Amino acid sequence: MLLHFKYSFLELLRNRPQMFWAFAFPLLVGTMFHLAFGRLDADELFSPVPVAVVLDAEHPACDGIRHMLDALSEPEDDPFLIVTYVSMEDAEALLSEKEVYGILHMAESRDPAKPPLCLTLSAEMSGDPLYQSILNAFVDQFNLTYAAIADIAQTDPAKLSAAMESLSAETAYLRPETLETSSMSQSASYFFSLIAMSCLFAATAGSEIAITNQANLSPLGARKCVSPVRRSAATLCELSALLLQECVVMTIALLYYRNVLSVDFGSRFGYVLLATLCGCLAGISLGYFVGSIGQFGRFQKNGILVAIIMTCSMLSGLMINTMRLYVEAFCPLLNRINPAALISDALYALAVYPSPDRYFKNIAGLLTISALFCLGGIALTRRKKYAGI
Amino acid sequence: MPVFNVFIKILRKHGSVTLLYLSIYVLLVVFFVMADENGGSAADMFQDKALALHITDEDQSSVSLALTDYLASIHDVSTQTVERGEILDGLYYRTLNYVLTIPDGFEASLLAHDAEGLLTFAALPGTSSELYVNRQISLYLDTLRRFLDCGYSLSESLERTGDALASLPDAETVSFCSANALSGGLLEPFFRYQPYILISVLICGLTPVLITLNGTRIRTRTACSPFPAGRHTLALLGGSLFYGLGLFLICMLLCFLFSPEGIRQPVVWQALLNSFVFLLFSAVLAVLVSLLITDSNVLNMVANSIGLVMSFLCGVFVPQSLLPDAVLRAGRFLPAYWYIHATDLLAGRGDEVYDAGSYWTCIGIQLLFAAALSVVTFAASCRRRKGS
Repeated sequence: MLLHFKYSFLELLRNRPQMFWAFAFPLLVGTMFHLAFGRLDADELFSPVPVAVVLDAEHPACDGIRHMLDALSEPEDDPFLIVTYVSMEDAEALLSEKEVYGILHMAESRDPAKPPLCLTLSAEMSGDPLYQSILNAFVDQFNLTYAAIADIAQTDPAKLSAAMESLSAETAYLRPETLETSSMSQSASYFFSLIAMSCLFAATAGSEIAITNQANLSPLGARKCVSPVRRSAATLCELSALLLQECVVMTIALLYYRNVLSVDFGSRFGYVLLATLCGCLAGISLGYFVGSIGQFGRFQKNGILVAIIMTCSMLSGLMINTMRLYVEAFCPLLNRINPAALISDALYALAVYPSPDRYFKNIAGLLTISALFCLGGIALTRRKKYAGI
Repeated sequence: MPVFNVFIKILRKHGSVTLLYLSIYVLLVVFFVMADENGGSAADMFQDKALALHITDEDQSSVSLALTDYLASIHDVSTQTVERGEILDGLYYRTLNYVLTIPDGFEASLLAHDAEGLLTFAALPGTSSELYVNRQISLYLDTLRRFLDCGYSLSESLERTGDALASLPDAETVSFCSANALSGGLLEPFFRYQPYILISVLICGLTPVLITLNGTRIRTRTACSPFPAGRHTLALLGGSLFYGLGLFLICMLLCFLFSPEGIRQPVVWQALLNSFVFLLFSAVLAVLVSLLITDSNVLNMVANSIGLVMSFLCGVFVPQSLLPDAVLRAGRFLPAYWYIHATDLLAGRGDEVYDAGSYWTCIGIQLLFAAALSVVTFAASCRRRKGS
């Protein structure tokens, strides 16, 4: 048994192209993910909004507005705006070239009861990270305060001092709540799906083991069938050797992600390794099962595996990370039987949830799927006899 | 002709892979449009961006209900009880942007000037969405507070606050270019995801056929047959062209299915030309891979390595505007960068403004990449023949 395991492992090590790609795929794609997602989380953070300002010196509110804008764009004081004072033509040019998110200008009406500040935005700012809406909220806040004071001054001047007092006494109604999660990095979810895909790629090698054990599908299978070694023992050794190889590859990839690429897996790295081990097992057993089905050849079986792996990976969120949530809303069963979704959800649960319940549910799902695939593969190949090949 | 027939026969065996990638492609495009319902397309009148909010109102007072109504007039607000896990999932995947809890007794505290820090919120710290909603909540409560301080009754203050917010002028919106079929809708993601799909389909569909036909056994058998070597190469070239053009026709068909009226807009034809040029590059790449890789078992990993790396480095899945400068500088050495740059120019996405000169530069650079790769492929082919 041990001898067979040793030679199966050596055989895997000597398959250079397979070995190279098994290592290269997670490392190469992971590195590229890291480079590509460098600014994904940072881009959500608020930074000062570039805005063009067109002032009308004859407007009564001009000085007040200028003073306020200068205060809001002070570089030393956590600025809210980056202000450029220009003429209307230049402001429109800046807006059309998407150098600024909006134009702040004075209202044409000099009526003190009318809002003095106007905002012009571009209809083509599709890549705007909320800045146009934030600018609009800022202008609304200014105009509302201005209008409220003007309204009170006009209708009930006796209440003006109370209104001014209320204006100066700002109340912070909101208090942030502490989230119990250790990581909210959106980019990590892509790495979870990548790990799931890498685990499932072990299926191609698992399928190869099934094919090389069937006398009607490969010459090696024919030789193995006439040898005195028990087929179940030989297959078990080959599958175990493959599992060992995949575990080594994935452990190296995980260490690389955590230590070099700084992917946040949370604080329970041992559990991450366990999830990956179960993922590799699911991938290998999937390949073994598909490789054992029917009498069709390597091309067709590889085609089926590619279809399964790619579909599972896409549905687990490899290309669009929210895909798994949509699947959960429309067809939750799909997430329970998709090994890629189970692997990435297990890793996600470790990073986000303090309780390991969800993680263990996913692990149980992966082990069940692996057991079913292995049993299916064994049922399809056991006691097979060939009258002729 | 016999080689061409064999080519088609082997190609049919791999038809399922082509169909699979095309199905993934269509799914991605449809999903992208579903997920991006909220933003992207240009509108005549500016509308505040609607975020996904969840409000837990434990107070159920007139103030808390009015605040909820105000936020619901701007955002997509949900108020039903949800589990903590769903909130964490939503915040993590950005399907939920902000969670507000209004505690019991908030109205009484507000009237007693003791509401500081009473409202609790959960959002990603320091993000624009946090600042945006915080500003709106403060705007509403500050305005209400001002009317209350002036001595108006609660109901009168709520009414005046509502009127004051409703009477605010809308922001003016200007458009600097006419709307095109590529901005918004299905066509933008359709063209955006093409580099990944074209590379994957061509490497997984075309390369195994070429590996089989260029394999030592078939090549040596063909070499000793009366069939001329030149015609063998021509047949392979013809087969590859047939496959590439077929793929392009399917892409065109999908394009017109997604946007039947798009055919009238020159911008769609420009985008199709861009796709065709990238397809040329991908086809040459598939031929090169067939010369370098002999084991068809690893082809899927090779296709995904090249496809995903190029896609993530060049802005296929993550917009170029979100990529770090160093990555963009590296991406310039890949044709997918220029493909996406041209698509962004045509769609006016991100910070891009359409300029015909830039568009043709992108097309030219992609052609140069295809030509350079053809030279490398030819050299690899000669070297391999000499070796064998």
